[in-house]
Amino acid sequence: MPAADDAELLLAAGRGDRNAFGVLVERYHRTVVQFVYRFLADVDRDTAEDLTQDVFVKAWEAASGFEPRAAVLTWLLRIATNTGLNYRRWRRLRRALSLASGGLVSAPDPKAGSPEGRPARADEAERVRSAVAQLPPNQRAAIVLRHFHEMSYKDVADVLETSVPAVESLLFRARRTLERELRPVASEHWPQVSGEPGAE
Amino acid sequence: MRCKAAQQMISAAQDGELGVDRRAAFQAHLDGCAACRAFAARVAVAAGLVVEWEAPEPSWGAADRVMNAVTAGTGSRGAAREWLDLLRPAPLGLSAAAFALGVALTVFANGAPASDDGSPEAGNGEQVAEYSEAVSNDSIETSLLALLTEQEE
Repeated sequence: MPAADDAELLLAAGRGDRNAFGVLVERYHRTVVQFVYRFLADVDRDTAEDLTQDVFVKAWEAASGFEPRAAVLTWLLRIATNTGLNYRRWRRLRRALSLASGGLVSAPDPKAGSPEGRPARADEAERVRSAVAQLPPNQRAAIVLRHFHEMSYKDVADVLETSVPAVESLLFRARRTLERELRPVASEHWPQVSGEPGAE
Repeated sequence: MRCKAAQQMISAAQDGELGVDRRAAFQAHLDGCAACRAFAARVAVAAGLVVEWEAPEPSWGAADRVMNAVTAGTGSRGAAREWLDLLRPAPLGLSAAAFALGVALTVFANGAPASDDGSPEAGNGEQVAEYSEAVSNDSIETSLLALLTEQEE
């Protein structure tokens, strides 16, 4: 029997079918966890999983309003992006309130960026993580969606609720920054081509 | 085509997202410009490094916990209420709390405590629980987040 179509499952979930929603959770849980982990770029796996739980609860609550014009994964990652942005804002507010009331700002989590999320070349991976983390959120989201979820510019635009030319611009600016930030790591991989970018 | 225009097309070219006409113009520029060829190569190398950044596999049972939360109708909200306490001061401390909130929003607007500085952030389930509880309350917390969203946009 062929696997049920995503949109059919989500429409069924919108009518209250938890089993149908469970299939979607099985299908996309890993994708959403890894998207959130990379999009926020400075959280550990537990936080990414907790936020992913929020994403799916919101998706369940919003399923009855889903319109099959969008792909289900695109729809889920849009919820994940908004959840990540809200979490980031809340975290900044929390820090600000903590500072204003004389409290202590949380110490960095020793688990963040721990070996569970690192490739063997840990220093290089940490530089990559740090460079990606410094990108503005919309550029970071575009990079993660394009590089790790292999989305077309159209799909990235749908997730970020923007236009294809805007996505092209976001990715260009993000990669220009990454090229600059990763030069110390990347230089050993450069092909033997001379010349600096011109400014004609 | 000038170098600046060509460089802005590099990402789309490398992603196969340039149309035929733009691709031809881009390629013509690249054929005659060593500097842009070098820049394109470096951008490609940096992009190649990014994809080596691995993300962890979800923990065992995490998807089941999601379905438990869906069934229970809750997100990851929990018992932690530290930050809500900051927003819900005792009546006699209202003016002090209002002052603290004003200072906090000023600090926030100035970006001093921004977490997007690339440094690893404290993160754990309890913090997300606090966040979930905060945004699930249709009260001052929601209003503040909306205000911060407007500030950012």
